[in-house]
Amino acid sequence: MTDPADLSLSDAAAALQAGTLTARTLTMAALDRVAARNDSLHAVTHLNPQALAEADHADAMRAAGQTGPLCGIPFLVKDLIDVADLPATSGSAVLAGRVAPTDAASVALLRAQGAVVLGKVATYEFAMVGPDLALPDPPARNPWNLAHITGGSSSGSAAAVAGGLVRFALGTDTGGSIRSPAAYCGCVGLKPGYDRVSRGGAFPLSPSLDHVGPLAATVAEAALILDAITGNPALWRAASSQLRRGVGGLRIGYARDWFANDPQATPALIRAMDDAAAQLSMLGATITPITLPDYAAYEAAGSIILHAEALDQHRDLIRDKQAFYGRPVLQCLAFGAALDAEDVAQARIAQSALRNAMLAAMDGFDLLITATTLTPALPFAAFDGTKAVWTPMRTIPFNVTGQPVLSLPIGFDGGLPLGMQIIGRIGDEDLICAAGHAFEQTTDHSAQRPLF
Amino acid sequence: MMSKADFAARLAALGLTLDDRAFAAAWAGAQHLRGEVARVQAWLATQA
Repeated sequence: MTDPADLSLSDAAAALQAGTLTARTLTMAALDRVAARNDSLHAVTHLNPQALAEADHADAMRAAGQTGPLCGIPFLVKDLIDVADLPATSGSAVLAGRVAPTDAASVALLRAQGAVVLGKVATYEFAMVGPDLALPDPPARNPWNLAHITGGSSSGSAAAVAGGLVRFALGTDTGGSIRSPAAYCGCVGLKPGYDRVSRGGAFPLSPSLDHVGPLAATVAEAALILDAITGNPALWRAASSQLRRGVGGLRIGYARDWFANDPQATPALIRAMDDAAAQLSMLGATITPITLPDYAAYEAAGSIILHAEALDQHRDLIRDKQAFYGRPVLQCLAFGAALDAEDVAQARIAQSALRNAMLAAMDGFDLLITATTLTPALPFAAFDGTKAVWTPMRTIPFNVTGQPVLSLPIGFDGGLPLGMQIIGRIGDEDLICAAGHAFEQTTDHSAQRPLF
Repeated sequence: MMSKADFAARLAALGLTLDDRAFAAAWAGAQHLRGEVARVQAWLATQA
């Protein structure tokens, strides 16, 4: 018999609806997983002491006629996102002792549908930089190899989903913080289009670039969660509405030169991306190499906006609580002092022009694909604090443009997962999920799980 | 062109006190970011 913790969201919902499973049993199974694996993963930072009571409430809701697919489903929340009455520290001693007064908007929507908050999961400090091995709480570990990082900043969300603690968790993404840990840990990350999901109740890193979204075990589950947390569903096509559409007839631009010409890209990554493109072609999509605008310009504009806005967010806290910040975050915040208002204004002009340039490049294409990261997850040993370590990715351009992006597993390099991004125009979450689901259904990358 | 002393003054105005090692890392990051500013200016120039 399948452990309830391994049931997909749709299978769990069916069992709950049929009365062969209760939310309490499902939540206890998730708590058992946390008890068995979190000492290795360091994903969960705070359990919700009310989780079983919330599960009982969900069972009562279902008995009273609530039939929603998330009623009774446990989930975890990145510690950058508020959950009422739970600690909310953004992974920092600066906010030690803070308890969230209310739920973030995305959490409130899930709770209203009967989903059960299991607890909070690790984040890089203030979603900025990591792993910081000097912080009191140890960083989350990669479920595929505990000696390797998860990536971040949604580090605990990715470790929890890939490590089988829950089927989905909430994360945030300002420069790739949902997609890169999803790729490194071998799960699905879905960064919605800008403003589709409310950022209310999530500690801001850079409001112009911040996105809230799900990390999940599969594309279908990520799409379901995105629909559940979409602030105004009437404005958007449902992400899960075309999952059975397939990719037939879709014109997909393959942005290979954004990563394959970079010497940091591993041969296994290039091979896995080429194989993924070939698979989409076999499924009926037309795959054409595409030359996108200069990647470096996106990274430059994004970095300027991110550092300027991050410093603005922390100005008061730096003055009052500097001693409580981790060293890497303080250093990173200090970068922003090198910027003038004119620099930021120019970056915003560039942001608008870069958005238009991307749309122009996509003329004649429905979707884009490119690598999420250029390497598998690095070992913790690379982060010894003696020098800055870059983890090369190709994610921030779509924070700059605000387009929706899915990252999903496409294979392994040295036993560690690799990820591909599928990018659409604003509002095309349904198409990126359709393509991702079709790919996932005809490959076994998302079905593979680390052994514990 | 921002000098190291200018950068240190800006940090001081923020109330940000860094030890030598942290300041060296911050200064390196600041220079990288100034490079990004130049890159954006150059890209915008190609669009004019």
